[in-house]
Amino acid sequence: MSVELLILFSLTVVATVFVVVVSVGLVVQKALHVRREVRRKKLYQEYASLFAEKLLEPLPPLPPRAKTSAIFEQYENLILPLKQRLAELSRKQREEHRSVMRMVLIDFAQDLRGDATDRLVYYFYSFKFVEDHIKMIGSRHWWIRAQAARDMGLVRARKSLAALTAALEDPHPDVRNQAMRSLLAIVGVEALRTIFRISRNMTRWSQIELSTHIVQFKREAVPYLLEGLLSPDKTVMAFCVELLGEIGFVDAVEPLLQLARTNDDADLRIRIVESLGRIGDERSVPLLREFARNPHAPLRLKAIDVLGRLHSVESIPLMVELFREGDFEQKLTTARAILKCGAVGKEVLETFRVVGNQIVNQILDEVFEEAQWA
Amino acid sequence: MGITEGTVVELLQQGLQGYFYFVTTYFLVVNLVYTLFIVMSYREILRQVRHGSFSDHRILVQSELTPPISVLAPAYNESATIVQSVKSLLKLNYGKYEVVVINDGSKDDTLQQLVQEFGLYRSKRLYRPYVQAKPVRGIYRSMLPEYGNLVVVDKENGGKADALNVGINVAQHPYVCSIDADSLLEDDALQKVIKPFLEDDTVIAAGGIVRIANGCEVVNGRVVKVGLSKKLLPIFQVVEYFRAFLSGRMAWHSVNGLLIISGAFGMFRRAELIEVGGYRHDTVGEDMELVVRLHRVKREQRKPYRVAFVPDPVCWTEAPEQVSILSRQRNRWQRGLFDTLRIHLRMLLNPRYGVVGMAAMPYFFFVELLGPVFELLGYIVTMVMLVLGQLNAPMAFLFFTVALVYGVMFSVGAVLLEEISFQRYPNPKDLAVLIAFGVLENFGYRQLTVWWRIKGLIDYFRGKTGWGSMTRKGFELAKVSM
Repeated sequence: MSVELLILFSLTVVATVFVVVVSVGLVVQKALHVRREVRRKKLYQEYASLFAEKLLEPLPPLPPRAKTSAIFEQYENLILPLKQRLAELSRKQREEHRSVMRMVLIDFAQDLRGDATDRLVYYFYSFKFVEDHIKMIGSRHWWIRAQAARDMGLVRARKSLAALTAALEDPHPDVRNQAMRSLLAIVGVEALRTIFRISRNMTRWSQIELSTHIVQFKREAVPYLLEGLLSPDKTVMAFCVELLGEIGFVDAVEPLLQLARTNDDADLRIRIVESLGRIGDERSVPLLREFARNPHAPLRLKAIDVLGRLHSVESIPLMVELFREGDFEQKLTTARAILKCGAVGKEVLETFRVVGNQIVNQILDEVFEEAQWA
Repeated sequence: MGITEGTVVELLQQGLQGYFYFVTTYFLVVNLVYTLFIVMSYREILRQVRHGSFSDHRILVQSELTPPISVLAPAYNESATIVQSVKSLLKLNYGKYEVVVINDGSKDDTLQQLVQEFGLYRSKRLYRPYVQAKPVRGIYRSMLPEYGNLVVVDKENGGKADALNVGINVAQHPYVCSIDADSLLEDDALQKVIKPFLEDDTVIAAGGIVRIANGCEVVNGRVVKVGLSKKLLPIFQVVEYFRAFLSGRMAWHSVNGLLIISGAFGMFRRAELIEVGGYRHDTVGEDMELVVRLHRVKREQRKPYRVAFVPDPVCWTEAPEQVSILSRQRNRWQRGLFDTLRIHLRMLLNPRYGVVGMAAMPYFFFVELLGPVFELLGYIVTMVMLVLGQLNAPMAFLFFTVALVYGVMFSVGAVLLEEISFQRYPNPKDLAVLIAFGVLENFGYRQLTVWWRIKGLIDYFRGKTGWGSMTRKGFELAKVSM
């Protein structure tokens, strides 16, 4: 057989084997997967029912001088039969059952409150799931580290705090995000101090994720966000600026004004101006008037916009000047801001109508129309 | 026989033999590349699926930090379906977004349908042409508060690219999402496609996977149940789309060499589009040409950037069910491909453009563009050699067998990628059908597409431009008719 024929023949065999194996394998794998899932589902339902019983079963009252650990002995007695059952299984079966039990407890952890939660946390420790998870946080696979970090937060395992804090510096963003969430779940709002101190180069996604947790704390988060303004990391600083605006607590005004004066980063200043606008405190007005003359156009326009949102009537003369001397974008922004200053602003704008100046008239038409339908 | 004649015949035989060896080598190289694609795609899809389990895009709806988006939907003679399409766009699950419908000089009553249904009035809003486009006749807003995020722009007819440019000009938000008016978007499509931009601020464009909706159950503009069509042509296209999207585009995404973001669904940073001048309207491959241009500009500026691909299904489209319509589509795609490569020819094999110039462009040039030509010539050469008695029959037979088996292997590999990732076809029977069609497509369907693509090249050299008519019957009608 010639070399070419041999090569082609070999390729044919390889490809054919691949096709047959993959095709058959896919269909068989899908069928097996369906069967496996049915079995796991059944096991899940069984353990869910068992654990629901163990978590909600009323316990006999303890005598008045009972030791603190007595309650844990009661918890332990409830799950002894389960542990005995596990011990009787083969290693492979035990692994599968433990995996399902862990899944059940983690799912329950998201919904339980009160005494049942304490029991659940105890069971998680007693079955040594916490130790398993702390080891998993050191795994070389990022998805295992992230899963472990997430689960620790769900079951509120305080023993994992050190590992979770270290995970804030993990190279993979998903691990860092899960660690942040879990720290907030376990420690509460105080975890923000650690998070802001350690975090670096927060992506927008991380910020969005974190923001959904922080806004739930509302005013309690403000002191930590103010601390975060001192972070050496620009992304953390910018994030804290935005969240202070979102929460809208007036205590943030002076620190934000101070930061805007001392930090000349234009993007940061724009965010600060936006946050000041959202907080809506008049103490911002002098700085905004200063920024309304800033040579950096985006900052200038943002400051003008916020002056309008603050209904700063005393700034109207300044805004009139800015309208006259500005380009198209500045005219449009200033006109909107003036109109937001109420009846006074509206009167002032009407004086701008100039016969023959089509651009100005069109700008005014657009601005008045927006206000009509707002 | 004279010496001259004998020499000619000998030369011809050597030429044919040489071409046969060339095609064999070409085939081996191409299949090596495809194998690499499947491996790269497998790794990337696995990474993304794992990543997806830890980053729930639904939080975007809860946070005020989520950036707003402008959805651009060009429409031309869409009277039958425009109202439903727009209504379904207005119900997407996302925080702050606007829908900009651009009526591209429709000859039917597309605009009137919109005005009537959505209570539109002619707005005094100023039109600012950041990007060149045909004149705009009017901008319309709705008097009804529930449609406050709808903007309709009426313009002179200029084609899809021109309409999108108008949309870019009118859009108010920093991200624009261009879609086809008849695309069916998943509820969370915007959430999924904005994610790459939020995870990496160097991302300037992102495309989503387009799935075939034929055979699926569609209710109120949403795919509620996934299934396969009962007709042959759409099923072949399902397998093709798996190969193109899950295998090809995922692989290119992993090396930042993605050259195409489907016109049916793509998201861009608006500032970047304005910087490069928007879509070109003198090519039928405007979607690919734009992405290649973005690559070129960024690489010339030496700025870090990424063009991303989201494999999670976000958009469903109606695939042609008639051969004539499918052939027109493939003809247009091939012309668009050639045009884009011609426009950006200086990037080809130019190290200045990194992986795009040294890998992606050569692939599209030598494989996607010229591949059909080599293949057709291969068939012709084989026939000629057979007639001349020069054909090594076992060799030829084995060659075609290998080609066939490898074609099947890649189709099946693409189905495997779907199965390990999103498993949108839960029924094992559907999976078996897809695998069977992965085999069958190599017996006629693939050869047909080769011919259509070659015809596309011929038409390009003949100066043919334009889209041709792409008749669609719409999803609700299709559901009823089945």
